[in-house]
Amino acid sequence: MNGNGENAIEIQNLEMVYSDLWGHARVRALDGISFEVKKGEIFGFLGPNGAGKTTTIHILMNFIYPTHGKAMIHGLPVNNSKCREKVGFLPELFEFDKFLKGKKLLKYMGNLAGFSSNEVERHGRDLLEFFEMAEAEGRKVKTYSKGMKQKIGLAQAMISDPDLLILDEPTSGMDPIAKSKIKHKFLELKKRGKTVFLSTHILSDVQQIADRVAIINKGKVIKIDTVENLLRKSDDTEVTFTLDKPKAEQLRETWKPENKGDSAYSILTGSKEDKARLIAKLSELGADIISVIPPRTDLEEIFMQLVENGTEIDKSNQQA
Amino acid sequence: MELRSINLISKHKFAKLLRSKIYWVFFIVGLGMLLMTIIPFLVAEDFRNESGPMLLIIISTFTKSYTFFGVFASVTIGSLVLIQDIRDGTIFPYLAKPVSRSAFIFGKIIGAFKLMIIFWIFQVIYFMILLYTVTDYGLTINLVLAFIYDLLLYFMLIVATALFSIFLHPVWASIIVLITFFLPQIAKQMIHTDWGFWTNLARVIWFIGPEYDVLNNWGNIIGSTLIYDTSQFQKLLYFVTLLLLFLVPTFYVFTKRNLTPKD
Repeated sequence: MNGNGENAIEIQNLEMVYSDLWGHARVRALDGISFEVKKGEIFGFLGPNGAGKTTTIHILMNFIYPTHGKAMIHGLPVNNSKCREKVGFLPELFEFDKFLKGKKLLKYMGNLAGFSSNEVERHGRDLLEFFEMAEAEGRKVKTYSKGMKQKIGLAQAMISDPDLLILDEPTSGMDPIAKSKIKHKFLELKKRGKTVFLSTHILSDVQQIADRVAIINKGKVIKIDTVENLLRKSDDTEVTFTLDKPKAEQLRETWKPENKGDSAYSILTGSKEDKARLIAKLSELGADIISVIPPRTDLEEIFMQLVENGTEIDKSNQQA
Repeated sequence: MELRSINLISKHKFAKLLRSKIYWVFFIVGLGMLLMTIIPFLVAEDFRNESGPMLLIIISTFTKSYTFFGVFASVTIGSLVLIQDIRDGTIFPYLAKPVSRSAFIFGKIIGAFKLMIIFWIFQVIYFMILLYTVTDYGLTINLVLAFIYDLLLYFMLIVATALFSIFLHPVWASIIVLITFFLPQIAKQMIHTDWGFWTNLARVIWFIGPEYDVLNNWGNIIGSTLIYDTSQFQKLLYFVTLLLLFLVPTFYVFTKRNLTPKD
């Protein structure tokens, strides 16, 4: 942890123990997690229910105080309210005062963030148009649907054009078109050098847009890596081809061809050399090679494997 | 920056409280209580032309409404000031902005206090109209001080209930503050009993606390030409002591405590 503001978020050895009135520890929500979120990246923060995601976010927003460890935003400790000057936040569970209208809410939130009414009005109008809520700006927030509330929640988080967005389940309750638009918005923000810290259960969203992800379980970070690395399954390559059955049987001495119907087969090779040998053999046998694909899994599969089978902490990645 | 935030938050809280049903319940009932002040004047024909007795009658009925209108309204509004935002979850998006918790608390309390200032102005104007209409008495410095003291009292009651309600259910917080407020008066009723420890405790409380005979205090203030009034000073001292003993630590703890949606 250098604390010089090179990273958008820095978390070091964070522990959170919820105690009862007498100080007896009841729940260990976080068990010494450490990671950093670099400026300008989209960072996915994943974990099953009760893993400690929301606790981490609440510590970052200074709603709760950690039992041990440090958290910093833009190089400032989170208990310094100045660190939130360039932060937009959307909680998972939130309400806005029911008497507020959409436009007034954005004005109030923008003013609280230190922006003048004129700046807020201009930016607020753009955001309302982006979220296709310009017509609803004069309506009270209490009349909004779940998806609209989520949109206005995102709009208030973005009202001050923050450098860092911390979002807890941002697309919850939204329709697919809105979800897609918002994903593109995050990518656009990334291009402008903004950082997006995304906590969500919708793994396909993270897979599509995140640069790196941290997977947390039982209060511990069990994996941090780039999405690309997580999705790559070692050096395995799947070679698919068509070949007569008798010739295909010859391959069984070395490999395990899997019949895919008719004369189509696929073989999973274990290394680059193995792959080269197989392709040479297939050429020799006159096989028609259909594809050579490094098999990829999806984030959901990785997530399930890590959460269900392994809680081993990826220390090397935590240090990275 | 902090002053700007406090101002924004207080305006917002004022607007929020103005839309709460409990405010209007108090406003309507309180208005009814104030209007009742006129009843003795209408029925007490014997004293209608005598300024002294009429003044006491007005004060007697007015202070009943004062107690209800001011003290109870302050305590009820105070009980909604902070905990309402924590319970309905509105506090989280607001606190995520660059606003310190201290600024947030001050803003909320000042917002509630603005509402009580409206009550207070209404109360003062009504009392002055009555005073000038049915008695020969005018505005004295002590009367002005008494009204200012009321305003301070409202502020302290809002702060006390707001902070206690963070740790207790708002109803319990309100009851505790009201009992504390009326404790010296309760003690006064107990000092002539023979209940051993409780009687001695009542004597100590009565000795330490101010005498809450509001009728006499108001009568003394209006009748006296002295600027300095012992009973007002005692009352203020009593609440400043309470503030130091309970409220400052409570305020400190609130800024240090964890805030979670389940609160």
